[in-house]
Amino acid sequence: MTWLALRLLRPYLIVAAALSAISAAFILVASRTIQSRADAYGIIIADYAPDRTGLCEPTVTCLPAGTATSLAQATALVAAFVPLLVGLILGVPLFAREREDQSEAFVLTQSVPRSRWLFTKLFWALAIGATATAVLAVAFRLTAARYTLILENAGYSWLQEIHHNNVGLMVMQTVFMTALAAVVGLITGRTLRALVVAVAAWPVALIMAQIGGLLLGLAAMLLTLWSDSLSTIFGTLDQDETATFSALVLAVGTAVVVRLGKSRLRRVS
Amino acid sequence: MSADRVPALEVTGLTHGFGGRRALDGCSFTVPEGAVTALVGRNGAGKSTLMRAAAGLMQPDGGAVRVFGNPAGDATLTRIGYVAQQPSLYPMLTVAQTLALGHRLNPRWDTAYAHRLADNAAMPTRARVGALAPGHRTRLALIMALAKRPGLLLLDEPLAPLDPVARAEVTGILMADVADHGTTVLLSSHVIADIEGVCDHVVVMTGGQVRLATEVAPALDQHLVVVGAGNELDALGDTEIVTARTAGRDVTALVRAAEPLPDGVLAWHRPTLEELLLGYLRVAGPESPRKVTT
Repeated sequence: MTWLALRLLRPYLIVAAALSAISAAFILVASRTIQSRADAYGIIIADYAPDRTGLCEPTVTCLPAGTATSLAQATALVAAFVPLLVGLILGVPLFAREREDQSEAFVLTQSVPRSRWLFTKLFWALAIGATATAVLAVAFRLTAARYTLILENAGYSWLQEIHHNNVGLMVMQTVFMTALAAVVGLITGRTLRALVVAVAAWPVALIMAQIGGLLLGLAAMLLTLWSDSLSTIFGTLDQDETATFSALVLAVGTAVVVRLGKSRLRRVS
Repeated sequence: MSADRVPALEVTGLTHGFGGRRALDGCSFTVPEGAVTALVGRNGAGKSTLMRAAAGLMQPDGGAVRVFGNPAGDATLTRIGYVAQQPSLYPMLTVAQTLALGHRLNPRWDTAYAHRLADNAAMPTRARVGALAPGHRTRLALIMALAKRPGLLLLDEPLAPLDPVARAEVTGILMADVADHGTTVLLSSHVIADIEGVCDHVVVMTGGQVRLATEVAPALDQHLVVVGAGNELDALGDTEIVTARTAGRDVTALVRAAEPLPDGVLAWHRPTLEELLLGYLRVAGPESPRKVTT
């Protein structure tokens, strides 16, 4: 089943891998360019706080509009939307395509349980999606995240709220969107419906994950109040911790979606 | 069929609907092991839906389908081979990859048999399935079903895309498999010529209901085709009329009668399989389900 799952995934795997590699390469190149421009203007970004304190006044750019600011905007867009795109590329066609051309009847009448068909395909799609996003997320966090500080545009700065420069949250966005699009495709048997539902569900899932992450952070804070040493590690409610808890919420959401897919598996025909 | 043998397929009160339309309406019949059974019905009669339910591809709204005593589903997958009306194959795979996939996915896969059948069909093994002619695709789907070494073959109008020579060859392959391995076959069709001389049992469906389910030879012996003027049919008395057609003054009726009619005003003869099936296919009203018996 693994061979079949990977063979059917191959075109989407290639696109997702290429998107990840190109995004990561772009982030690396863009970071170098932005750094060189910042150096030219004597701006030491590493010295400034994440809330732009001391970097420049709100709504006033630190760098004159040009290549560097455009690249910073582009990296912010890449970090915000490529995890979603990878999830859609891998998840939407995963089952919907087979169901649309009715080729699923072939595999469902071979001597393997349909749950194996479901889990093998999902496993590889999620694993590939997680790896693809992890590559660009690590590249972004290590090299480009700091340059979002130079963006004076509130819209671009707001994009950071989608992922909080957190690798886990970016990876889990891809994992959740892959699973959601795949299961909607499994149930409806239509790629367009899977795409529309997944895209519509994305902001809702993000908001739920952020709220869930915040609540978990508060819970961690309350639970560690009794210990000074523990409360310096958990329940700090800083950006990274909240984002990690949000990723945890998305992981639970993924498990729920997969369970929904399994419960509807008998009705797939 | 001996009483203690589990039937290859047992359909009980099967009901299924699509939206407001009932595709299957309380279908019940059994197919004994080793039989070649034709599932006959007009387009939209519910044959494909019934086949998919038997293959475990869909969960019916009501009723039960048992394959060799087990509910159709994961537990029966190793024992069934299924060929859909539109062959379900992956168009991006080559023929060789498709055959290799059969080996990976089926513990009882007969590689030598699969390659022999592919060679006999002059199957281009390097060609992509999507590039094959419809006839070749159907034959590949049939090879995939046969090489699983199933106990029950479910063939949903598999002969439709084939040319006359290929039809004869495929029928020959099927009969050889039945003879060599005792495979039970349920073959759906709305072309009576396709099943004549092939099947020993028949199930007739109209409007999602089973009108007739019987062994062919006894069924032919238990029916008569009667021809006479309209008012002359009164001479049949209590004899059950299955269907009657009027052409001018004459009426041709298919009646259920084991004994020959006495010499008199009505002309009669034993029906051919085509006359028998057409008679039941024209039945509009419901009829209680019957069992296929050996």
